[in-house]
Parts: sequence; C-alpha cells; structure tokens
Amino acid sequence: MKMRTPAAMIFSLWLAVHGRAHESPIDHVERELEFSVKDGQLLLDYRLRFSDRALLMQVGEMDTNGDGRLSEQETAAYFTAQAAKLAELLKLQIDGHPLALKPTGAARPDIKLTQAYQFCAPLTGLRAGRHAGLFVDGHSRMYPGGYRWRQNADADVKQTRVVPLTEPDPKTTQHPEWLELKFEIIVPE
Amino acid sequence: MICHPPLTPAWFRRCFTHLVGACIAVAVACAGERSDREIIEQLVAEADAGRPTSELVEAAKERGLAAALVAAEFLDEQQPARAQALYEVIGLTANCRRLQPEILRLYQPAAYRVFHTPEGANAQRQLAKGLDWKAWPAALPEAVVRAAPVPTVEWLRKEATDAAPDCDKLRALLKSLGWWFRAYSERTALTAFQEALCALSGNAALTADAPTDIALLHALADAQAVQALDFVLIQSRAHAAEVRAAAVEAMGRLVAPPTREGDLAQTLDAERARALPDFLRLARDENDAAVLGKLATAAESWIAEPRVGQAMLELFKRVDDATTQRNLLFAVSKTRWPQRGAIIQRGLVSPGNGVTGVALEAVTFHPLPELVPAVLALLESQKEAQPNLIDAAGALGDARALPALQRWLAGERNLAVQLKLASALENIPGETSAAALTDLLNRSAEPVLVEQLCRAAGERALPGALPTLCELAKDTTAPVGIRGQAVWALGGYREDAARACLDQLGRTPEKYFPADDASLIPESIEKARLLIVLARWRQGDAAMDSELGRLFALGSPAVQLTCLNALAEIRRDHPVIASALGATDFPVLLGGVRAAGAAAPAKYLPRLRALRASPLIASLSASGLDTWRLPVALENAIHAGEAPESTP
Repeated sequence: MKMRTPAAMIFSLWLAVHGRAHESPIDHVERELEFSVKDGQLLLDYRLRFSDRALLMQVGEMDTNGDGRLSEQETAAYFTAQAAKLAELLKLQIDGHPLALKPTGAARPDIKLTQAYQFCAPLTGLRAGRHAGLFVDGHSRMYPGGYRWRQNADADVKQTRVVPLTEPDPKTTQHPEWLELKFEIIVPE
Repeated sequence: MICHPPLTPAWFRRCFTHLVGACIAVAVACAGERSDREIIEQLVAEADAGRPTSELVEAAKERGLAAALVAAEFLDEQQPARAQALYEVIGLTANCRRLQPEILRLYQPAAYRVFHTPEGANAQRQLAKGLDWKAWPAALPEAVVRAAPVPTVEWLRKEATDAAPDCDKLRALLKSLGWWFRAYSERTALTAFQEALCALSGNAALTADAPTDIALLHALADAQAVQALDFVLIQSRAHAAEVRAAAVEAMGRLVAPPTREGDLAQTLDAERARALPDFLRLARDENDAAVLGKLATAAESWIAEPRVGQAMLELFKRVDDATTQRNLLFAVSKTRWPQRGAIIQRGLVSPGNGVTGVALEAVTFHPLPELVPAVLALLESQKEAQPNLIDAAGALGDARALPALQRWLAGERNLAVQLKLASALENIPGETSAAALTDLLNRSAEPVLVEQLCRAAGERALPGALPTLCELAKDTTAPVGIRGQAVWALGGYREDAARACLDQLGRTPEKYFPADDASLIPESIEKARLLIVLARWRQGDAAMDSELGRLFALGSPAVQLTCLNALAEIRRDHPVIASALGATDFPVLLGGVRAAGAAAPAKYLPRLRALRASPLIASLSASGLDTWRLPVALENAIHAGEAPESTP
C-alpha cells in the first residue's frame, strides 16, 4: 500500500514500534556487554553493532573536513567523543549508589563491523558479601535493538566476581526499549 | 536409488553420530582461539578427507578477507572438494566489497587493501586462480565476482576474443554478475564490467549460442550497460523468440528512466529515442506471446511518450493474451500516456483472467473522471466486497459509490477489508461519508481500525467524532497508539472542547501516560507526550513552541521522526527542522528533509543544496541500501524551494 500522506507515515511508524517491525527507517543497534572485576575496578566491555546505513551516517559524521576520506585524526576524535557520550548514557549503581563509568583506552572498530568500547568504575570499600548492581543503558533508549549479556562461566569463586540476576526475557531481549540489567557483585571473605 | 541394510547396530550408529557431532562442536568452539591459517588448514584436511566443512566455512567467514587470502594459498585444481569449500570461504568473506570504501578501510583494512589499492590486484589474481582451471567449482563464479573484479574482467575480455568461448562457464559467471549488479553491490569496477560485457557482445561464436546470448542480454541489463544498446536492438530481430524476448526486456531496462537514486541526473533521453523505432516496430508486428508480455512491461520506460501510449492501446485491442494485457495495465499505472484512460477502460470491461483486477489497480494510480461510470457499474454488479474495487472507488472519490461501499461495510467482518472501506470513505468528500466514518468510529472496537478512523477524523475534522476522540485520548485503558492518534487528531479541531481536552492532557501528561505503566513501552509514552504538545502547538498555543523544542532535543530518533513527520503534514516551520538537517541519525535527517521541503523549502534551500553536495548523500545514493528515498526527497525539497511561489 502506498503512503499517501505524512499522517499515514506517523500511523505506520506507530505501528512499527508496536509491531516490532524491521522495515523501518529507524536503525536498530545490537549490543553485547560483559562485566568483570579486576584490580578493584568494575570493567565493562561494551560492543555495538550498527546497521550498514548507520555506519554510512557515522562515516559522514567522522568526515569533519568533508573530503570523503577518513583520516586517523578524524576517526580517533570520533571514537573518543563517542566513548565520552556513551559514558554519560550508561548509568551504574552499586548498592543504590551511583558509580561513574569512565572510558579506558581507545575504542576499536573490528572486522565484524562492531565498535568495542571499554569502561571502568572503581569499586572502593566493598565489603565481603553480595552487593546489588544495576546497569541502565541510556543508549538503548535512543537506539533500541537486541542485546547479549556475556558472562564468564569460569569465574574464580575466590575472586570478586559479577553474577547476573536479570533473566533473559524473550519479550525484551530481542528488542529492549530501555535496557536495565540487575546483577550482584560477590566479594569473597 | 538402492537402499542397503545397515552394516552396524543402531547403538553404534547413534554413538558414532554423537561423537562426530561433538567433534565438530569442539572444532567450532576452538575456532575462536585459532589463527586464520589453522582454521583453513583444518578445513582443507576435512575437505580432502571427504568430511563436511560447513561449520569450518562459517568459522573462516568470521575472520574476514584475511582468511580468504590464506584460503587462496591452498587452492588446487586437483582437489575439487577442497576448492569448493575454499571458494565458499572466499565468496562469503568477500561479500564485504559491497561496503563503502571508507567503512572497509576502518573496519576491514585487509579487504580495503585488496579492493581499493593498486597492489590489491595481485591478491585478487591469487583469489581467482581457479578461473583458468578446466572445471570450475560451483562456488567459484560468485566468489570471483565478489573477491576479484580485476582478473574476472580480464577473463571476460579473453573470452570476448576467443573463437571458441566456454559458454557454460560464461553463463555461470554472467548469472552471478547479474545478482551482484542487481543488488547495487559493485563499487570499483562497474565501468570495466560494462565494457567487458559489451566486448562479449561482439563475439559471434558466443551470440550464436542462444542460452549464452540470453544470459548476456540479461547481464547487460543488470549492469545497465547502455553502451550495448545497439547490440540489444539487433537482437530484438533475432529468429528465436526467446532471444527476442530477452532483448526486449533488456531494451526496456536499459532505457528506463533511472529509479536508482544515485542516477537521477542520468536521463537516458537519447537512448530512449534511439530505441523507440524498434519498440514501435515490435508493438506493430510481433506476435509471440512471450515477447509481447515483455514488450508490455518495457513500455513503461517511455513514461510520457504518446506514440508508445497509442501503440499500447492498439496492442491491447489486437491481443487476447491475458498476461500481455495485465503487463500492459501494470505499465500504464506508471506512465502518463494520454491514452492511459482508454487502455484502463478496456481493461475494466475485460472478460476475466485477472485483467479487470489490474485495471482497477491502475485506476488508483490514474483516477480519471472518464473511468467513473465503469467503476460504478462494477460496484453495482458485485454483491460482496472486492478489495481492488474498494480502492478504485476511493481513489475516484465519487459520492455515487457511497451506497455500495456502505452496504459492504455493514456486512463486512474482515478487518483488512474494513480498513480498505474506511480509507475509501475517507477519500470521498461530503457529509454522507463524514457521517459514515463518524458512526464507524463511535461503534468500532477494533484497535487498528479505530486508530485509522482517529486519523481520518483529525484530517477531516469530523464534527461528530470530537467527543469520541476526547474520550479515547483520556482513556488510559485504550491502546497507546489509538490514544496518540486521537491526541494528534484533536489538534486539527478549533472547537473549545478540543482545546479543553488537550489542556487537560497537557497539564498532567504523567496521569494519562504514566512512565511506570508496565503495559507501555517508554518510547510510546514519549511519543504520546510529544503529540500532546504538537497538537496544542498546531492549535496555535504559542507556549508550546519552546516545549516542542525541548521534547524534540530529548527524544530518541524515532520520537524526533514522529515530530518532523507531523510538521511536514501540517506544513509548518519550527526551529527543530533546522537542527534535523544537521542530524547524524538517518531517520532524523530523512524527517528533516521532508519537513523542510513541506514547511519552508525556500528558507532551507541553501542547507538543502549543501546537503545534496555532501559526500554523505553521494554515499547513501550509491550504497544500494534502503534510503527511504532520501535523495529523492532532497531533490523534491530543493525543487520546491526553487519554485517562484515558495519565496518567503
């Protein structure tokens, strides 16, 4: 059916959101994340997989001098800015207290067309026992998509470790509007 | 097939199967930690031993073109199973060549070097060494098209001068090339491929073989090799009907006005004029049904040429073949021939075979007054609702169709048909259709239908629908889509009741669209709240001006697109349009261009022109990706801005 008016477009977009349709101008973003603890820091490995169309838009954004080619400076500046923007959008709480995530190292574009970012937050003063963690992904609110929470099945129980509490929900795992993950940090005696 | 009894007991076969499965699973799991070379070496070993390789091919694919370069080292003409598996790896990993070069440079530097630097040609030759083999693995044609354009073009050029070309191999390669071109995947060698294909058309030994000749004609069309038009026109006189059919199809595709957004400047007027005499000759003299079917489809390339319209009208009278008539009516839908009404008229009174249905579809594209009597006659003759007829009646917008449509609506239980009937009523002006729509809105409980009726009510400001819209907008038990649509519809009313309702919603949006309502997804709530502000702004509430800007800035790309579409619909300017034109999110940019073109094209003309000249738009146009016709929207917006009447 052809679209006759912008009103029909609004209508169809509304339906698209409700119907989880994929024929949409909205670019979904798939994400993969993994928490770990090392040297008193909570580490977050955060990978984003964009659509080809979104990658093209990003190339346009990176190409600040508009010459159609990406210099190392342009890409480095882009990924640094993106990491800082993500750090603002990714909210973390431990035992109800907010913890600020900071980008560590350079973001890596990789062969699977993903962008890998690393963040860390200091875990100072955590006593032995279980500590409730909450991760709210503000980026997923802007750019919805499926996600995968990678877990280290071989974590050493004698070391401080992260245990997921959020059960994969088939209704939301495929396309979360706003990703919220609950976990525990277990500090051994 | 002979089935032999098993030589081993069932328990052994089960255990053996599980063991093999476990080995494959372990191999794949381990692949993540192994080098490209180790994966390829294992793949070679498995293939040489006659064992399945699909899991290892998948593992190698994940490694990108670096794995293909390793695979090329192991290609051996004497090991066909191995070569097949290795060419599968090469084909899969080289599919990335379709990506824009800068993306490739950033994410897959190895592939960038092979495809976009002069030294890459040597690597391509390694990847394509199988081209010179006596027998090709089945996976080779697709692999070399993707991975090795330079040696593939060289091979095609060699065949072009060969007195005894290998037609079997050529057909396989041309088929793979066609798929690649049709997906707009070629980035680096389109001209070289076009020229090589043209060179092939000069090889008489090749064109003497009808299946290869047909494959070449298809490939020329797929590659848009318009340089080969003369060859195609000659082939349209071929003795074999199947060759003529392929030539006519290629002719139509080669001279068609560009549909690909990146080619809009390429009008092909001269080529169309050159092909016209042959087209008209065929329309007059051709009798083969297959050729005529292709001819009818090709006609749409001469979108506004009256001579083609006349020829097609005469052809419609001359032939009884339903396929040709249907193809002709499909073509009519896309053209502006003066004879289009006469052709559709004939289709409407056709005895059957689906021709009338296509004619009704053509009416929706060309709702000409002269077609009204025939459509009304069909309406009267049908007892049960006919979807194509409903659409045609709605497109014509003639009030005399209302009795039949209302009669069908009264007895209709199928939602899809109800939606069509509601659309048709919406398009027919007057009080009768307004009353019918209002009545349907007031009594319908079907969410999708109610949502559509809310939109219709808002567009036509149906007086009797206002109380229902107010109720729906405030009904927290109603689906959020309906409530949002009702809110937006209220913005189209000037009555106090509508203002009062929107004020009430706007004072406490959290009461009506609570953020903690588990049944609502956050983005829907955002959109609903935005629509309250938009509707009040639409009614002239100046206080909403800055609030609209604030919500837009906070919104997701989907919410921003909703806002921009609304502005485009009511053709009103707002500062958010300027910010959208600088967006780096595709949907926001798309919405910004559409809104700028609809609301204030002259004001945004410099921005729109700068956008058109940007490398980004060039990349999007050439990408083959779904751009939602952004470049076309951009052209239309610029055109609107350049029109004298749009000057502010």
